[in-house]
Amino acid sequence: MLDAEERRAVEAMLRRFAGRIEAELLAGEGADGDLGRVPRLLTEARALDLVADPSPQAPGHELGVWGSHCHEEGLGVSLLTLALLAEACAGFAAAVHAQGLACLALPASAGRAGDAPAQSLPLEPGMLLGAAFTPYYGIPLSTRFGQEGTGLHLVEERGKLFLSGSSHFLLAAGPPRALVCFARGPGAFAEDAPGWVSLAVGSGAAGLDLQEVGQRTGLRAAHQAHLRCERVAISGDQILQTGKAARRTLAQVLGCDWLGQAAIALGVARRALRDSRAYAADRYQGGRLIEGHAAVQLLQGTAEYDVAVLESLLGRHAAQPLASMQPRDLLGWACAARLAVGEHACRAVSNCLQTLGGYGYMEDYGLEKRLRDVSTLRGLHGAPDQLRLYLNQLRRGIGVADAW
Amino acid sequence: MQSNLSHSIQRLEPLGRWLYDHSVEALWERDTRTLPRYLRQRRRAYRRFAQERIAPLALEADRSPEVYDPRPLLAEAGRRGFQSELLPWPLGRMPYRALLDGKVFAVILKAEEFCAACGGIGLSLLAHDLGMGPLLLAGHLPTILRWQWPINRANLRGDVRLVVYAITEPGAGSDMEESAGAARARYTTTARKVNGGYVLNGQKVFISGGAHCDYATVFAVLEREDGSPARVDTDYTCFIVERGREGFRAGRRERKLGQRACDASQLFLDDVFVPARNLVGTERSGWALNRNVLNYSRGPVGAIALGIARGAAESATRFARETRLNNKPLVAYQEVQLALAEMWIDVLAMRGLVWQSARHFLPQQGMAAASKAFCGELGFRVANRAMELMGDHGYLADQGAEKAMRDVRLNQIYEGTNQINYLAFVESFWESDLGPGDPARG
Repeated sequence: MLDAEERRAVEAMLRRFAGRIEAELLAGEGADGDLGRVPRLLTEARALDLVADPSPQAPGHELGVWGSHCHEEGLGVSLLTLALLAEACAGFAAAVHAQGLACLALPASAGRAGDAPAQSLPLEPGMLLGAAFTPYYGIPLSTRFGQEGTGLHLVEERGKLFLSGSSHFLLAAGPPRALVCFARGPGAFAEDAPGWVSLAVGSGAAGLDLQEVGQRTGLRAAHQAHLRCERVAISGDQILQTGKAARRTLAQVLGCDWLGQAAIALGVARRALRDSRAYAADRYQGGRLIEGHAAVQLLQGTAEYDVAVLESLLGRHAAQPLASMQPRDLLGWACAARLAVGEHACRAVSNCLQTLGGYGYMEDYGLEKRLRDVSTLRGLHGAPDQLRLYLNQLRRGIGVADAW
Repeated sequence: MQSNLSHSIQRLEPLGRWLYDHSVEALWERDTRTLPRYLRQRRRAYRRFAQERIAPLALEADRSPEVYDPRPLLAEAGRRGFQSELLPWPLGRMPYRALLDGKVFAVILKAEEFCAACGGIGLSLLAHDLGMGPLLLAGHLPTILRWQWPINRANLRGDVRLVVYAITEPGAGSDMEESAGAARARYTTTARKVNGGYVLNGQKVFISGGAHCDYATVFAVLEREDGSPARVDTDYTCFIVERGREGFRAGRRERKLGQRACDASQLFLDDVFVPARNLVGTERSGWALNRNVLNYSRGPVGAIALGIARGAAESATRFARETRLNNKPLVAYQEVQLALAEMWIDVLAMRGLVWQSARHFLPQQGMAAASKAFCGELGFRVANRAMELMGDHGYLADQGAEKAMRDVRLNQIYEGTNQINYLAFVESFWESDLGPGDPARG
């Protein structure tokens, strides 16, 4: 946990870097700026210890977004970082978020006894990773469509292991060099067959295919791909975790994924509100500034309320160490925060765009990008109705919840 | 359950059976059947054109709007009579029955069908009706014969003549569409009377179709002869300006969130001389003319939102039918059925209001504003619901729902923001229903 002074210092550093992202990435023309500059900005972010690193020797391993500090110090700093980066560019924040999730999926980052990083996968500093845990539709761990797991299956044939199946909408900071995959495993690897297994695999492995998802609405500074595996040979030392340990890590990854998305949406909404206020204080209609019109005040007032709801939801357990948080509590919190993206963040951004009238709809003022980005978060890694059903499952203590 | 219900219906008395509509009929057909014959035929023709000619171009036109050329489609639509439906034969292709029924009913049917296939291409075709609006609504027969008739004839030959409507200015958007604002609007486009005509100066922005137009109906504030300050609400005057007139040019084409196949462009007027015959209507009648054009156009803009929302609902339905999970289609799950029902009921509600407002003998300010604002809101809700239902697939361009979301968001902004339309509704029903006096004076 940061004290007030540390928090101010971190915020000041993040705001400076956010300004740099805008100057570097978004200064030119184009709907999403110059995406070719993302790798360089990621390097700079890494130098500031904002990006999680798979190598325990790198400072980002502990300090980066979703780094190992979360286990002892809570999620507040990661949420703060993502929200402030998203005020500049949600796609860039999503890239940092994705790298953090993949590092979180490595058991070494949890520092738990008995878990070891995959021996066959050298984790070099700065290595880009991806976490494969999302099914074609629905939510892993949910009894609704999660019964089929992620779509990845580890099978054992004559003493050899093979990974087959698919995982979809994998988010990463760039084309990943290695993947942390959550798969359904055979009984020998799972305490509650068919249970969960996590494993690490190089993205160049034979039989593994990563294909970019194609044109999408927003978050274009982040990389997104579908993973297909056809009998990818897996050795025993690529296995990271099995059974309940794997499932617990998956719950943490899933929870932090939704919370990170909500934090990014909060940053987008805050920035939209700031832009709206600036415009309203400068634009005339009917002979007076539009900030004086009740119609504009109502739009901004609703956006202010929406931002407050998101802040309140995200702050609820932000100080609690991840290691001490029950997966059911984490997932319930994360699920609610992620649902608020669609209802509150999207409405806030849309209302702010409305205050700019025709200019809000054009690329030049940035609101159209913010609406695209936040609309992408609306359905990322879980349709809202599926989230509602899952939240209800968690509360009723059925399905996945009974494991804890 | 359905089988048991069918058996039970068969056991009813003959009259009871007759009174029970249990026919299997698509929503679209069911609504079409309620229309008079001439509109049923039109609706089917519009849908055929949209499916055959617009839909195949939609994704690419959205992805690369700078290379999309609307003129071939404008020519084809013109040949089919879709670009000349504001006047009856021999001046145009408006059905005669429309002279007795709602004047814009055919236009709203066209708007829904075209925009269900693509909001942007739909707008690029519909912008012409808006541009032609002042030529008709000025109520001046020589203007109709001099301008509207030849333009219609050319379009019917497939010789494209695109007319666009130009009111919005860099410092005045809403002020050009609302009574209270017009009196204090910070306009830039002016007209000065000179020997034999007028000289126009100024700039227009966000003009749909401006990059490709052959004519623009331009509204300008006519300077007063006594030199006193002129105002939008007292001195607004409409002129038709031909492409090629010296000093008249299209400027930058805006990069926008949606409806990208239809350009939104700047128009510049630098000492543009237009002869007196280019005056549309009478001097200083432009404010009433502009407001009535909006009365005629806001219903169709509501229908554009309706069409885009229907397209989104169709995309979500297709996804739910084709996606199989746990060995059954997604649509078999109750939560998916509930979501689809919400979307389609919203679409029906939008159509209900759009059709109802279009049934008025003349388009009316309050009804048109209600139709426009309601459909703008609901259309966005439907498109977002479609994206949500599809989960991650919802934000992929090739699924269609995200494009619908981007497209329909514009419907809360153009033709007056929704807030301006709510105020137009209040103004319209102030004396009859909502309060005494004129809100513009307040």
